[in-house]
Amino acid sequence: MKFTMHFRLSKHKITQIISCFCAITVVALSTLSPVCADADKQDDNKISTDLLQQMNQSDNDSTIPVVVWFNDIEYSEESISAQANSTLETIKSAKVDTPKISAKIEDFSNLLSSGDNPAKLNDTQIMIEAKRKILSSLYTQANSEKIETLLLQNSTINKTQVKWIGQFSPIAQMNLTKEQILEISTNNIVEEVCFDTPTTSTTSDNLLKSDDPNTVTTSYKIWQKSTNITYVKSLGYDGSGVKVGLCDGGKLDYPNLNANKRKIFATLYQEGRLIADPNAYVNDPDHAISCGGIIAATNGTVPGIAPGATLYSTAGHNRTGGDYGAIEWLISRGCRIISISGVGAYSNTYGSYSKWIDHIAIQHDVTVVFSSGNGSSTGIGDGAMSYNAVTVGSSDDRNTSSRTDDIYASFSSYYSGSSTTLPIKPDLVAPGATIQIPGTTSSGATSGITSGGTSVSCPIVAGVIALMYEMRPSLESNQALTKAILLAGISPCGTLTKKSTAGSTATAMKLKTGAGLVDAKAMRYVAENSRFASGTMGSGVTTYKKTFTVSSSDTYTRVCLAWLKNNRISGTHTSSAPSTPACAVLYLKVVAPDGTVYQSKRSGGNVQLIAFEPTTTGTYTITVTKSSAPSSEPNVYFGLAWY
Amino acid sequence: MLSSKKHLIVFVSLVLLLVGCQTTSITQEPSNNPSATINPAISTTNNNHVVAFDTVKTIRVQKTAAFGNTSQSASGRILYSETELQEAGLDALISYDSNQSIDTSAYTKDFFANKALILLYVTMGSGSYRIRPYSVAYEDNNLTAYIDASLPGGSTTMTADMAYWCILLEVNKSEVSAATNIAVKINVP
Repeated sequence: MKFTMHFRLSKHKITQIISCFCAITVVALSTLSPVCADADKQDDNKISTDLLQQMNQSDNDSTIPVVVWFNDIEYSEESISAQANSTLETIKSAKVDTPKISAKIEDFSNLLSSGDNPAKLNDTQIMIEAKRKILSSLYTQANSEKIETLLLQNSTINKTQVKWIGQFSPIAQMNLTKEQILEISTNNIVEEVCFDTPTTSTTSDNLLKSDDPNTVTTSYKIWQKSTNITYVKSLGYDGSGVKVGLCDGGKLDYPNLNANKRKIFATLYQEGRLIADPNAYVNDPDHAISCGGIIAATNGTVPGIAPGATLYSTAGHNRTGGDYGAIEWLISRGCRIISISGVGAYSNTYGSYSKWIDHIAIQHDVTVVFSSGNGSSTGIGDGAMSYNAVTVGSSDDRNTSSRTDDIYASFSSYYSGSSTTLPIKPDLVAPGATIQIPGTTSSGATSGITSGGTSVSCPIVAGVIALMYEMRPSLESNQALTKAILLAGISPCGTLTKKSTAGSTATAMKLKTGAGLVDAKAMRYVAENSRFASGTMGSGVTTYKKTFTVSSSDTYTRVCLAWLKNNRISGTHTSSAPSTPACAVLYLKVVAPDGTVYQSKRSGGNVQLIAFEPTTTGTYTITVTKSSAPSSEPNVYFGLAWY
Repeated sequence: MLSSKKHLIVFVSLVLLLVGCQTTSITQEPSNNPSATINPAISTTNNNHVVAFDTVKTIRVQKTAAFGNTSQSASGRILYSETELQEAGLDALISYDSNQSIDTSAYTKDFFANKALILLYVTMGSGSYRIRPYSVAYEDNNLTAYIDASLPGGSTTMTADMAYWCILLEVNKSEVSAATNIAVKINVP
C-alpha cells in the first residue's frame, strides 16, 4: 500500500517534472532559434527588450510594428538659437511699423510654424516657434534621407512598410519582419529599434449625464475652489494667449458634435479657438469633451479653467503615426502644453514612448501633462514615466472646498517599482474621484457630464499651467521651472503633503501623491512674485546658491528643484544616451538663519522637494549641488522655486 | 538534420506538456479570451450546475455607493422580488443615462414567480474596457458570475477615466434560490 501510494505520487510528479522540463525546452528553443540564429549580425543593444520578446513570439513571415530611432540630427544649439533670434529681431523690427508687418505677414508665416499672426506673439513664443520650424525642417530632411538609406541598404524592405516618419524627432514607425529588424539593427544610422506598443488611446464608452446633487460627485464649483482655481480666475486670468493641446481617444470635431455638446464649446469655436486635427478621427468624443471642457469650456456660469486659451484637439486612435503623429501635429500647431489622459499597460516601464516624450519636451519646449492611470499599486504606464512630463494622479475632494480633508483616491496609479533611479510618479495630484465637468450645466447646455479618474485630474493641471503661462509667458520655454513652480506652489493639504525633517535627507515627495494637491493660488504667488530662478549647470559647475527671505507671516515654506532629463542629443549620437534612464543627479539643501539644515537628496528622478514650517525668520540659503551628470550630456537645465 | 531534430524535440515537448496539463486541477478559471464562451468547469456533485441566463442589459452608469473606490472591483446581488428590485434603486441609477435605459416595468410579481434577477456592479479603471458577462456558475451554494473585460483591438492603452457598469441578468429562480453567496470575477486581458 505504502509502495503503491509512493509509486502513484512519483508518477504524477514525474509527469509534472517532464512537463515543466519540456515547457522550458520549448521556451528555450523558441527563444534561441529565431533571434539568435543571426547572433553575429544583430546588435542586441539596439533592440529593446520588449521587441525581443515580441520577436520570440512571432513567426518569420509576420511583420512587427516597430519604432526605429535614428541617430539624431547633427546641429549646434547655438546656431539654432542664433537663427531663431534673427527671426525674432526681424519680426520685432517690423512690429514698429504696422503697415510693414501686414505686408510681411506671409514672410513671417514662413519663418514660424504655427501659422499665427506673428504680431500677436510675444518674444518667447516667436523664439519657440522659430526653433521648432528650423528643427522640423532638419528632422524632415534627415529622417527622409535615413529612410532612403535603409531602403537602399536593405533590399527586402519596401516603402509600404514605412508607416510614418517623424518631423520633430528622429524616429519612424515601420512594420518589419524579424529578419529585417536584425538587418537594420546592424546599421550605424540606427540607434535603437523598439516595439511599437500601441500608444493610440482607445476610445471611452459614453459618459453619463447628471444634475443630481445627491451623488458623490464633486461639483465644478467645489473642485475649482479647493484647488484655488476660483481665486486665480477671480483675478482675471483665463489662459488667454496660451495654446493647449489635447491628445485624447477622440477629437473635438465641433460641427459633428450633437447640439447640446456643441454648446459647451460654442464661444471657443466661434472665436476660432477650437481647432481639430484634420487627420484624426472622431470616434467617441465624450472622453475628449470631459477633458477639453475642464480646460476650456466656455459655457455656463462656471466655465473651464482657461476658457481664454486656444484648444487644439487630436486623437492618436487610427491616426497616421498614432499618438506620435498626433502629438507632433500639436507641436506643429504651436501648442505649449499637451494634455494626455490616456495610459498604457501599468508596467512601471521607462520605454520608447517615455523616452520620446522626454525628447520632444526638452527639444521643442513643450510641457506634456500625463494622467498617471487608474491602476493603483499596479504602477504607471510607459509615457507617464517620462522624467520631463508632469504626471498627475487623483485626489478625492470629498465634495468640500477645504483642501485639508482631501485624501488620496485609491484607484490612482503611482510608481510601485523598485528602481531607485526612476522618478517618483505622480508629480502631484488633482481632484479626480468623480467631478462635474464645467460648462455642462446651466444655460441649457446639456444636462451635465460627470467623470472620474486621473483622466480628469490631468487636464485640471494642464489648465493651471495655462494660467501660469498667461501670467509669465517666458515660462513657456522652461519646462524645468514650470514643474518647480507647480510643485513648490502648494499649500499644506493634510495627508496629501509631507513635511521635511531637519537633518534628514529624505525628499518631501510622497509615493502616491507626489508634491500634493495642485494649488493655483500658491502657484500664482510663486510665479507673480518671481520666487524662482533657473539656469544651466555646465561641465565643471557643481553648485548653485540662492537666498530668500522668510518673514513672520510665512508659516509654511517649500522649495522645489526640478531639472530636465537631457534627451536633447547633438553630435554623433553613438552613446545611446536617450535609451537609458540615465539622468543627472542634483541635490537640494536649505539652511535657516539659525543653522537648521533641510535636505532632499533622492538619488533618482529629477525632482527634489523640501517642505517645512519655519521656526526662524530671516535669510535662508538654498544650495543646489550637482552630484553627477551623464558624461555625454554635462549640461543640466534646472528650475528652482520657493513658496 | 539538426533542424529536424529540433522540430522533433519541440513536437515531443509539446505533446508531453499537454499531457502534463491534463493532470492539473479538475476545476479551472474561465479563459481570458474575450470571445470565450466556454462555461467554467464545475463539480457535478451537490446539484452544482451552470446557470442559464439572458443578459438584459449592460450599461455604463454614474458612480454611486454601490461601486468600489478601487481601480477594479465587482459585486453582485440576487433579486427575488419586486420589493428587492425597488430597494436596489435600479431605476434611479439608470435614469441618469439619457441614451440607454433598462425597462424594469416587466419585472412584476408574475415575473418573480419563476424568475430572479442577478444585478452586477462592475468598477474598472478605464472606460475603454468592453464589459461582457459570459457565465454564471452555481457550486456548493455559491454563485459566481464571470465577466470579460477587454480592450478593443487588443490595445494595451486606454483612457484613464474611472468607469462603472451595471449588468442585469434574468435567471430561473429554481437555479439560484439555494445560493447563499454571490461572487463576481473579472477576467482582464
